[in-house]
Amino acid sequence: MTDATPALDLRERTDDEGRERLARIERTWASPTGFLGWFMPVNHTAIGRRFIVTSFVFFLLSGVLALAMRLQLLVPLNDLLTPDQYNQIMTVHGTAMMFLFAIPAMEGVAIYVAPLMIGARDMAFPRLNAFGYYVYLIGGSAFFLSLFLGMAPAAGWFNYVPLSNKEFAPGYGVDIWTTMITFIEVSALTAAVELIVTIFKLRAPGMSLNRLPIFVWAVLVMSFMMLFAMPSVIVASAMLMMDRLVDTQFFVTEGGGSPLLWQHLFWFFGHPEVYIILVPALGIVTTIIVTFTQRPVFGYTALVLAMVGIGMVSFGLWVHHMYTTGLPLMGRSFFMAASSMIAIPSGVQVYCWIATMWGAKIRFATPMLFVLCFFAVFIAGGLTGVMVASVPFDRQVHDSYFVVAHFHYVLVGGAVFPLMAGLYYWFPKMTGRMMSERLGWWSALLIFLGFNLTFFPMHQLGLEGMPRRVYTYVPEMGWQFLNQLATAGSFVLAAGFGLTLINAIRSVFCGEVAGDNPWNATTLEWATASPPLNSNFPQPPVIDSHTPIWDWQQDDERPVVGGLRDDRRETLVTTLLDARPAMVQVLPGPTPWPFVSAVAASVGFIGLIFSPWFYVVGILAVFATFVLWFWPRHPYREE
Amino acid sequence: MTRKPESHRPPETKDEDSDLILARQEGREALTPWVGWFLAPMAWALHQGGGYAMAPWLCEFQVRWPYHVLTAVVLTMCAAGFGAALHALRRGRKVRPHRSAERLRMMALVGFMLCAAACGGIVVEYAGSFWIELCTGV
Repeated sequence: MTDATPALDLRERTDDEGRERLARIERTWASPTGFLGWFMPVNHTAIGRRFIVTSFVFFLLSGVLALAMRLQLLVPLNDLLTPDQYNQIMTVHGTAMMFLFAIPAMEGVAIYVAPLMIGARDMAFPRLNAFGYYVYLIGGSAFFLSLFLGMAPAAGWFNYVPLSNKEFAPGYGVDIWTTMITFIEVSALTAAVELIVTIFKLRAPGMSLNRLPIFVWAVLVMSFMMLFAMPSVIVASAMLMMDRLVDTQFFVTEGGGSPLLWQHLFWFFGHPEVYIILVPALGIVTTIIVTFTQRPVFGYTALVLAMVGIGMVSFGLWVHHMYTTGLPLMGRSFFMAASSMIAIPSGVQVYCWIATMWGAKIRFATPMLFVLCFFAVFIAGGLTGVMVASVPFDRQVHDSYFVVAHFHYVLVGGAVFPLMAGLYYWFPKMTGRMMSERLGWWSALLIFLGFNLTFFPMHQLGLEGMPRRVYTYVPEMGWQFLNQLATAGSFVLAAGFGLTLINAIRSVFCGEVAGDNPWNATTLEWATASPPLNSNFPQPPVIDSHTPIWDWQQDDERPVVGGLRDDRRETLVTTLLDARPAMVQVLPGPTPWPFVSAVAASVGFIGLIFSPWFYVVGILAVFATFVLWFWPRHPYREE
Repeated sequence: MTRKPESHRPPETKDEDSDLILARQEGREALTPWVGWFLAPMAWALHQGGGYAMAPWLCEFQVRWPYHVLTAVVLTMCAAGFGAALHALRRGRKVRPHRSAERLRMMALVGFMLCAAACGGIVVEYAGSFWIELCTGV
C-alpha cells in the first residue's frame, strides 16, 4: 500500500491526470455550501474551526461580564449592579469561562490540529464530531440566553448545595445550570471518544507511539482525563436536577442526603478539569518552542511522562478544595501530599523547555512571545498553587481573593496565553493568511501587563481579608486602591484581547498570504496547503521520525501512501502501537442528521428544566433521529 | 458451517501448537510495556481512595493494621509494574526492527517512571501517618 519510491505530491503534479485526480479527491471530500449546507459539514477542519470561533465568542461575552464585575468593585458601596445581578454575572462568567470557553476551545484546537498532525484525512467518527458541536452550540447559547432573560443561575460556577437546593435557589436558574452543563458535557465526551480513536487508529504509517507529536500526546491525555472526569459532574448535575425536579434527597440532609457529596462529585471533576485545560496547552507550548528554536524537543520521553503523570495525579487532588469542610486530618494529609506532588511533573516540563531553548537561536515571533508570557504567569500561579496545597496556609486564605488571584494565574497563564500563542501560530494554517506581527506584539504586551495589573493585587487583597464572591465592600476596609488597580488592569487586558480580535478579522481579509509552512515547522499539519485541502492529504504521508518535514527537506523526498480511492471518503487505518497499515475505512459524508439529533436532544434537555416529562420526549425524539442517522446507505454499500 | 464434535477433530499438529504458543507469547510481550502504565495509577488511586475511605473506621476502632496492609499491597503492585517495565526495557534491546524497539523502550521507560512516581506518592502519604495525629477531625 505504501509507495516504495518517493512519489510526487499530487499538488505538485502539473500533468492533466494529476490535476484531475486531485480535483476528484477534493470534490469527494468537499463540504456543502449555502444556508442548508451550514448544517451538514462533517470534516474535522470545519467542525474544529466552529468550535474555536464559538468558544472565543463565549470568551468575549464572559469577558464583558468580568468587566461589569470589576466596575462594580471599583469603589466601595457601588450600586452599579444589584447583589442578585452580581451573583448571576459571577456565576455565568465562571461557568462560561470553564465550560463554554476553556474546554471547548482546547477541544476545537485538538479537533482541528490533531488529525492533521497525525496525517489523517479526517476523524474516526465525523458525524459524531458534528453532533458534539451542535450540542455545544445549542447548550451554550441557551445557557447565555438565561442571563438576558433574567433567569440565570446565581449559586456560583461550583453550584454548591444547599445554596443551590430548591429551598435557597427557587426559580429556574439552577435548573438551567444543571441541565445545560450535563448537555454540554455530552459534547465533551463525544470529542474525547473520537479524539482517542482517531489518534490510536488513523495515524500516518510509520508514526509509532514514540513518534507521536507532543501536542497529540497532550490531546490523548486530555481525552482520557475527560472520559474519567466528565461523568462525575454529569452524575452530580443529574442528581441535583432530580433533587429539584422530583424531590429526591441526594443532597438534602433532612432526607438522609449529604451536601458534602456534591462537593466530592463536583471537585472530582472540577480539579482534573484544570488539568484537562492545562495539558493540551502544554502541548501547544512545546510545539511552538520546537518550531521557533528550530530544534527537536529535549526530553521527549520525559515530556510524555510528565503529561501522563499530570493526568494521573490530577485525579487525586480534589479534596484540596475541601480542606475547610471538616474532613479528617488523615484525608487532608493524603491530598496535601498529592497536591504538592503535581509540581514535580510540571517542573520536569519546564526544565525540558528550558533545555530545548538553551543556546538556540530563538525567533521571537508573536506565538513565542505569548509562550514566554505563559512561563512567567504560569510559574507564578504554580508557586501559589504549592502554597494553597498546604492545609495550614489554605485554611487562612480559603474563600479569599488570594484564591481568585491564584486560579486566574493558573488558568489564564496555563490556558489563555498558550491558546493565544496557538491562535497566532495556527491562524496561517486555518486561513492561509498571516496575522500582523506588530499588532500581535502590542496585544501580547497589553495582555501581559493588564493581566498582572488585574490579578496580582488580588493576592494582597486576599491576604488583607477580602472575601471572594462579594458584590461590594465598605470603605473602612481599605481595599479601594487595590480594587481600582485591578479594575484599571482589566480594561488594559480587554484592550489587549480587543487588539487580537481586530488583528484576526483584519488578517482574514487582507493578511499576508502564508504559504504552506510559514514558520518552517516540522509537524505534519504544515505538510498540506494553508488552509488545508478538503481531504487534508490527497496522498497521506509516511513518516520515519519526530521531525518529518525537516527530514523531507534534508532528503528531498517524501514517501506517501497510494491506493486509496478518489470517489469515496477512504482513509487508512493503522495499528495502535507501530502505525502499520491495517485496513481502509470509508468515512461518512456530509449530512444534516447530527444537527437534527442535537436539536432533538436539546428539546429534551431544555424541556427538562420545566417538566420531567421532557425526559421521555427527549429520549423518543433522539431515538427517532438516531435511527435515521444510522440508516444504512451509501457509501457503506459497496458499489 | 457446522462445527465438528470435539472427538472428531483431527489432532493438532506440532506446528499449530507452536504457532499458538508463539501468538500467546507475542500477545503477552505486547502487553508487558503497558503493565506499569496501568498498575501505577491503580496502585496510587487504591492507596489514596482506600486510605481516605477507611480513615473514619480506623479511628473508630483504633486500629492501624488495615492501612499498613493496604500500603503493602499497593507497593507490591508498584513493584510488579517495575518488574514488567524492566523486563520490557531489557527486551527492547533485542527486538528487531529497530523502530519497534524504540517504541518498546519508550513505553517501558514511561511505565517504569510512572511506577516510580506512584511509589513515591504512596511512600510520602504513608510516611505522614507516623507523625501526624491522623484521627483529628474524625
